[in-house]
Amino acid sequence: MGVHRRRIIWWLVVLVGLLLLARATAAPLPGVGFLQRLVYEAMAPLQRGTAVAAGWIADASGAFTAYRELQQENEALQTQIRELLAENSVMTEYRLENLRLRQMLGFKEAAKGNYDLLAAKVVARSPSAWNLSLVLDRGKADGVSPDQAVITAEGLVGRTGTVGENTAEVRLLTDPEVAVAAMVQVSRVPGVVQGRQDGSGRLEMIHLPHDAPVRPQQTVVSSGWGGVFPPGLRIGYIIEVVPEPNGLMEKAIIQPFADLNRLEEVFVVRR
Amino acid sequence: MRLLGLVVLLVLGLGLETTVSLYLPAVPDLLLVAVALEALFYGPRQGAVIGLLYGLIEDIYLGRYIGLNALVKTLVGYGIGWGENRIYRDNLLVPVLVLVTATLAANLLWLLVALLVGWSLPPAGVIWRQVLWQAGLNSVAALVVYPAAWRAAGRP
Repeated sequence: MGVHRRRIIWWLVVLVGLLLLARATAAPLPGVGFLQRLVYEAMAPLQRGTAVAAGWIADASGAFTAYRELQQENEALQTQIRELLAENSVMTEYRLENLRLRQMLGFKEAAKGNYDLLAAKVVARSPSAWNLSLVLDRGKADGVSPDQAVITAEGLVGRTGTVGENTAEVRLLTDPEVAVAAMVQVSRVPGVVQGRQDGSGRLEMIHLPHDAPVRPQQTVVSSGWGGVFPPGLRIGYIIEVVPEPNGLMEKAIIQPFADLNRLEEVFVVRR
Repeated sequence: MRLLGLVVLLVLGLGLETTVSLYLPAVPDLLLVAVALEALFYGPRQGAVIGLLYGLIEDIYLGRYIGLNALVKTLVGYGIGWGENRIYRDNLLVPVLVLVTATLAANLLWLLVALLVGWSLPPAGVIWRQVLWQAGLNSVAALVVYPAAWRAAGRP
């Protein structure tokens, strides 16, 4: 028998022996425990050292991963904040709209009997820097016609101009061409209120006798003369009384009650 | 000196394998890497002997089915050693391909022998995932130690 063949047989015996041994040791054998403990003891120092080193590496990589996760989380939170801010802005808008509508509703209830009010939404403004006119989402179809008073719960806004089927133009009080027959509420001194041409957003009550009892802080309301504006609509309050150039008359500078630069919902007074 | 190197390799391999695996998605078989490279540089007989010894120590460490890993590593060591004169070792792809092949072969053999000795196996999907991960990890480990193994084998 050659060396090569003997070697093959030897290896075959070894392999079969290993197979049988593996089968026999499916359950731990008594003698094996001792050998196992020996290997364990031999490996223990290295394993402890390696475990510590591997732990450091894992911690370091964990810190890196944590940093990356924090970065991602931060980005996600930033996005969420932006979304929430946008949402919050919409909610604030709804809340304010709700407040305005409640106020308008209250005013409408209070004015019931005196005026026939039609609620309208401002859908456009004049492109002019002075904001002299608005466009409402109501028109002839809703009973709106030219020269009707337009008000808010705070006070008079202006009057309707051109009226379409479903839209209506509103000429604001600040437009010098819009004149309102008015009077000082307390003293009943009559006058004409019109827009100032200085772009201040204020009004002036002209042609007041120089000795008329007109004082700052007094309220000015519509008098109802002229037919366009019903009587008793609040217009504004006097902030200053100044003499006119001829010296015989004086005029009152008026701050309108309604904020004419921030109108979103208004009422059209149909009668 | 060479014997000392083999012992150190055994202790290091088993030590790293049993601890580093705590932090890795799969258990690398560093002893298989050592057996494969030994066989690649020193031939089938050396590969089979080192496979037998390393496998046996590994089996004793595990405490059950003693001979299972020894049998597998012996056969793999012999098989790779058989290609000793047929492989151009001066290419870095060689350790990668050798270890992928060795890992697949070792696991296939292990599964066959495990079935023979009555080991209850995990689901096939789990086995495949583990085997593929192990092949990757073993290849990386082989790439790292290949230059040192090259020098130790006295190659130019």
